[in-house]
Amino acid sequence: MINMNILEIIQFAFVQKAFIAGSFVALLCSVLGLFLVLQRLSLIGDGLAHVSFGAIALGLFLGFYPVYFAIPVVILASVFILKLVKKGKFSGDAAIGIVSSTGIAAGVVLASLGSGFNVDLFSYLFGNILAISSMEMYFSIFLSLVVLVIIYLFYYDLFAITFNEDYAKIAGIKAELINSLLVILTAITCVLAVKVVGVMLVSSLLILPAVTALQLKRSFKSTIFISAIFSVMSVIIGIIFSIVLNIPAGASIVLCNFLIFILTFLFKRSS
Amino acid sequence: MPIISVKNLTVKYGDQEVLSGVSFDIEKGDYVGIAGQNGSGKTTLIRALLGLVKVEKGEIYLDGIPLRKFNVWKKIGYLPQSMALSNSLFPASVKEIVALGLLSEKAFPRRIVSGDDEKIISTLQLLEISDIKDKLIGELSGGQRQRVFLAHALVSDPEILILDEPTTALDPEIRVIFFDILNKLNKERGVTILLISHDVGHIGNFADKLLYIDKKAVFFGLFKNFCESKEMENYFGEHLQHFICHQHGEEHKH
Repeated sequence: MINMNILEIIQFAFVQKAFIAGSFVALLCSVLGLFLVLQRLSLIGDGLAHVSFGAIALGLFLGFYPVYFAIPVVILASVFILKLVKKGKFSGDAAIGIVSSTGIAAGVVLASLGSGFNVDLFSYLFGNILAISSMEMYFSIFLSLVVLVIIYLFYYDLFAITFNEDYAKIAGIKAELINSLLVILTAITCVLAVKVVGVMLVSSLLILPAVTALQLKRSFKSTIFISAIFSVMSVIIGIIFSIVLNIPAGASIVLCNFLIFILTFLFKRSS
Repeated sequence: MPIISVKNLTVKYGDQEVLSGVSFDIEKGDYVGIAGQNGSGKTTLIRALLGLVKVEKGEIYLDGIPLRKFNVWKKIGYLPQSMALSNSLFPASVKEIVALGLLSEKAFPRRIVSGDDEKIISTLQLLEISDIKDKLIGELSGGQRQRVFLAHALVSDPEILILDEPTTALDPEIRVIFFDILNKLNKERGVTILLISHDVGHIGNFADKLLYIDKKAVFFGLFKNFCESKEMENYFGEHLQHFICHQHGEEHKH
């Protein structure tokens, strides 16, 4: 355990960068996560994170900056999942499984071919938010803001299709288009979240704040708000714990999310 | 001009024909009960009217406009089957759900603004549920929930109301209240109502017209004509036709 108080910890530039980038990504995950959980699409985050692993490996293999390279590749994979469901008539979980396992397999093959970048690649497996550069932080903030603005503009469309797709269609909402938009935004979010918690734990950032907020639901808007607060709180507390206890930040953030979930669940049960 | 006109409608699921050459016209202010056995195509018919299933053949006109060009969805309120049973865990308040019914009159980016509150509250008041506006949908009884979904369908002040077995999950007392509300909407506001019921005898208690579906339109017309029709007697058998019409008459006496 490192003997430092919180005020000392938050004065480090690398910690501040981790707080800022992590909070933006957490905010994004919490908002999108609620729509995904309610549409029973929670595991799409897991699938797209696995594709990120393959895409990042390919980026490293070809010598590109892996996150920039991964974003279009994962967006394509998300569109491929939608096509498998719509045109190929596969069930959603089967389509996610096909793309997810292919992503991991591609990553493993590329890792074995290009042994020089294995250390970099495996840092993406478990995340490395404390090592985020200023450039990566600005990039995360920019993309998070873009995605959040899109969610704001399509909030009622997303709300309507999440509640009932038939209702949404009769209101003149292009349900397929909005579903595609949701999956594409999730793809971008997954790549950004890989830097925070790693490929293995991305889905937890999408699922845990949402299911925690659902325990305390009073309205749709308040549920999103609660989910966002818990998600950002978990990132801040998780990063502090990771430094104080000298444990990996990604896992620490996810465990904080889980702790808040359990406490909320027990509170809800007891009341 | 009929408010709904269906001409030679055929709908297929895969290779299976679910509706075959269905034709009928519904006039403004009609109250039509749609009946038929399970699997007869009742729900498919109204989903076709709403553009929710692909039409294989035929034409549908809503308010004189071909369905593929129709975009005035605020004119139509829809209450799908079993809504009262589903969505019980959805984290939305009554007010938020009713507000979704206003999206059909909004352009991108769709927003519910404070000016919409008046419409929402007056619809909740009409259905006598304004006191539960801040409750979650999962906290309500089946009857309250169904009234919330009816409020969702009514908030845009529609000219046509389409309901798919709306009272299946309701207690008999709540059912009576629900049909009273629909009756008022039809008689006092002139709302055209299409209501699916699996109970053909019951339809005569509230609707003026009956559309009996068995993949095709077996009967369409006034309920009393159904009872007097020799053709229907041949189709259902004398005993069943008399039972249906007798039940109708008996219930009317109470």
